[in-house]
Amino acid sequence: MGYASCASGPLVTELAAADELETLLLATATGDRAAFKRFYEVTSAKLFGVVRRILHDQAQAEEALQDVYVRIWQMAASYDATRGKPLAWAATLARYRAIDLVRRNAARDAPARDTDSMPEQAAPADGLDLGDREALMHCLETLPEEQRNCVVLAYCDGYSREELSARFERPVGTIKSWLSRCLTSLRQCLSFDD
Amino acid sequence: MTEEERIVAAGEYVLGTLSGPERAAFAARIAGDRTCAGAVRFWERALGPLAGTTAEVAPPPAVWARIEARTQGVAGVANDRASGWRAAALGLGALAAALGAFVLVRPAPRPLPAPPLVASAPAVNQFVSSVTATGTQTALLLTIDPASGTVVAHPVQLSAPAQRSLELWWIAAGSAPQSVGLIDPGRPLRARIGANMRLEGGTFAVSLEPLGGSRSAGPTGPVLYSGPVTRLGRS
Repeated sequence: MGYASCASGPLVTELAAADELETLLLATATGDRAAFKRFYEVTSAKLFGVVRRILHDQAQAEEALQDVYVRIWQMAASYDATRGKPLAWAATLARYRAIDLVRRNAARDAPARDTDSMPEQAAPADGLDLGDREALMHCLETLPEEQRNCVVLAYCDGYSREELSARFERPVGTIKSWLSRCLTSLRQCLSFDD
Repeated sequence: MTEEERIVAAGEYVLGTLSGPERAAFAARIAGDRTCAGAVRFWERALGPLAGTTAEVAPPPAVWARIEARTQGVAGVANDRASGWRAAALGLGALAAALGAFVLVRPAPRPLPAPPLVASAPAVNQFVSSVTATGTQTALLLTIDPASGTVVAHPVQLSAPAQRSLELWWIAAGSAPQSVGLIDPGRPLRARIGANMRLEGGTFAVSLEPLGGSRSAGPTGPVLYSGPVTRLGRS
């Protein structure tokens, strides 16, 4: 049984320290375009990876990425460090945007990725919070494999309940109750101090 | 909603597996419900590390050029405090950010009194109004379903006056104020303003009234908060 992860290819792990990103975001909030550009240079490949996994259409993924950075430019001043590191915050925005767009397409092509095999290795460290990741991986491991894959496919690939139903050849109602059970037990397994 | 239902709905909201209407309903709920918003934050944080494991893909260089073009002339939040309306719009943006909804101010070639909001909020053809005191902070966020005329007003930052009532009014373009109901700062208000109403150009306002509301047809006390109606959805 391998680690659940979004990884499906080589990972680039050279990322600026979270501190640098916070400084860049702070400068962006004052209208500093150079800082904004640097923030884009450091984070765009990660965010595009997130978006591209959910939106299979290149043009749509590019549009989503643009929307996310326009939004980061506008919202930099309201970034709240207690809600996560800058990269995690930006990745959350990117995911929501990609999900919004993918749900607007009535049907999308089957993902190119072979989803039968989950990667066997944990992804290396990057700018996201490591402590949280270990806890999440530990808790995901406690779920039945198919159900865990449901959560990972929904999160990483933006699968809808209907798409999960087709993928696992189970009724949508079963998928719903799997997700519900997974989330309940993940909530019990994970606990943050704050 | 039980604790467990909230945990599951918030989790599915973050996963993105709620159906369209469920997603819209939950997004509206987060606005007036701190516990729900907290549950969403929990899942964003809990599941976030998975996004960190996604392989990087370098975007084509043209993307940055388009972002630069789209952000030219669009001020960020911090350097645009002077313009009341725009600040109000961005206040709404901040709230939408908290909800995971998407509110963008369109790049404008020159400053406009009321820049159009473009959004891909979960709800289709939905109208919102950010009702503010000074144009800087959302006091009340309204979502309006144009077909049924149902208004849901979510108090964001309102204080209850002693021995007085806060009354919400709907003012259609060129019409007299129509009472929507009394605002209880502790809970969302759901009311009808009439089906298939023309919403564009309309305003919502909150006035300070005697306990139990205005005794006359219109507001009798000072207007404490007001805000225009904005249409959500890709234009």
